[in-house]
Amino acid sequence: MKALYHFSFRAMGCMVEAQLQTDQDGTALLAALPAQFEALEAQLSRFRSDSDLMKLNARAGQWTFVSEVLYQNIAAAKQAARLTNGLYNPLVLPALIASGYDRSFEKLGEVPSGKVGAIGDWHAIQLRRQTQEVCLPAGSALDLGGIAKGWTAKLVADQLAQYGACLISIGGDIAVRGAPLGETGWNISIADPDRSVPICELTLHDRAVVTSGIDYRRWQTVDGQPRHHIIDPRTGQPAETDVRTVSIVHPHAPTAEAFSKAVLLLGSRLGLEWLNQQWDASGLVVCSDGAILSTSNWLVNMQRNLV
Amino acid sequence: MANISKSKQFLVRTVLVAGSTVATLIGAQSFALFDQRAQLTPQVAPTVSTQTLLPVQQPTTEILHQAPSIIILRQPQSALPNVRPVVNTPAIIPPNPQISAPAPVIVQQQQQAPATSRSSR
Repeated sequence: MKALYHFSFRAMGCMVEAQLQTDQDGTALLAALPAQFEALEAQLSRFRSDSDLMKLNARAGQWTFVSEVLYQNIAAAKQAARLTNGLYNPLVLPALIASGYDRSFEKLGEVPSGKVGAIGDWHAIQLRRQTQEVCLPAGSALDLGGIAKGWTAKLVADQLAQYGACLISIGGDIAVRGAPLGETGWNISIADPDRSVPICELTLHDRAVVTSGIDYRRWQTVDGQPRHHIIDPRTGQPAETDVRTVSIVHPHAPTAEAFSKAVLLLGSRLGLEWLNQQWDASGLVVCSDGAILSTSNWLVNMQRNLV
Repeated sequence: MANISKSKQFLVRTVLVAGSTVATLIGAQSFALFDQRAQLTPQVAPTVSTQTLLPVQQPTTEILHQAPSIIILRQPQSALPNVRPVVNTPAIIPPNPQISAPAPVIVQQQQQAPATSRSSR
């Protein structure tokens, strides 16, 4: 008989939540997740000086053998850059550090102002599939913060789906497979950054929903300059945008993550118009003036509008 | 006698083949001349009789209703709560620092637990 298991734990600097409906040993299946996340962070985190990612960054300009996990993430990142014409650019790490985000967010301390970091050309990221090697442009550095959660959500959702319908949320980036018994999909709320009541509720199956925003990871420099963590690769500075949060629904979680960055950088109107042209993508934007806009196909997934 | 008959057959066949060939050539030439005359002769549009039984309505291309590509779910708000964190020190502490998280527990439940998509925290 199928039972519904629920598990929450902290990893990748955020809350991870897994729900699995299965007639197998759900407890054992979910209990294995923290160790899996730890292994992934050891390879992908820029906050660990001995991670595979940071070792690769130290060898920018040279061909370097990398793990399969890191290789796939870099390939996904380059594909995301291609899909967004560079609005998502994984080579923003120097700019992130220059803006003050040089350590895990809960440990941020005094942040100097006036620094600008160089951003490399993502086209110049080279990959060799047969030898599993990567060569970053010389002087550049990779950050996978804008793709790794989506990639991991997809990986874990596909894994758990072998045992039953599942939902995996990594800091609010959610991938679902199948639907709970008796339901047409998983019910997911979209948070309102200004209120405790959600904006709307969606019912999704075999989809991902990713929300990005500048409403939470914000800080100031020592002289009061506001900063946030979404770097505009066109300027090397935190994005100037009328978008506070953007939520994207797409079959592929890493793509949803990349699209959320693109819409945020383009602004509410241009971003949603651009999103309308992307295959099987829908989006909702909360603007800085409190307006909420969506693509017309967003309504297909929406179970309840609460605004 | 048999030889004469064979010769006659051959003659008849030859005449038939030659005749059809000549007819084909003449026909092709006629079509070519016809096409040439058609290109040189100005085309005259046929006149439309003004005696119509039913009034003719010109089709309209004006778009009266167009599906919007961007939907407004909520209009801009006049007054919003102050979302900028209050800063007393140069560093901003996140509202919910998770330095020490509670021990994770796997639970079984009857219904799906609420899941919310929000910016990462």
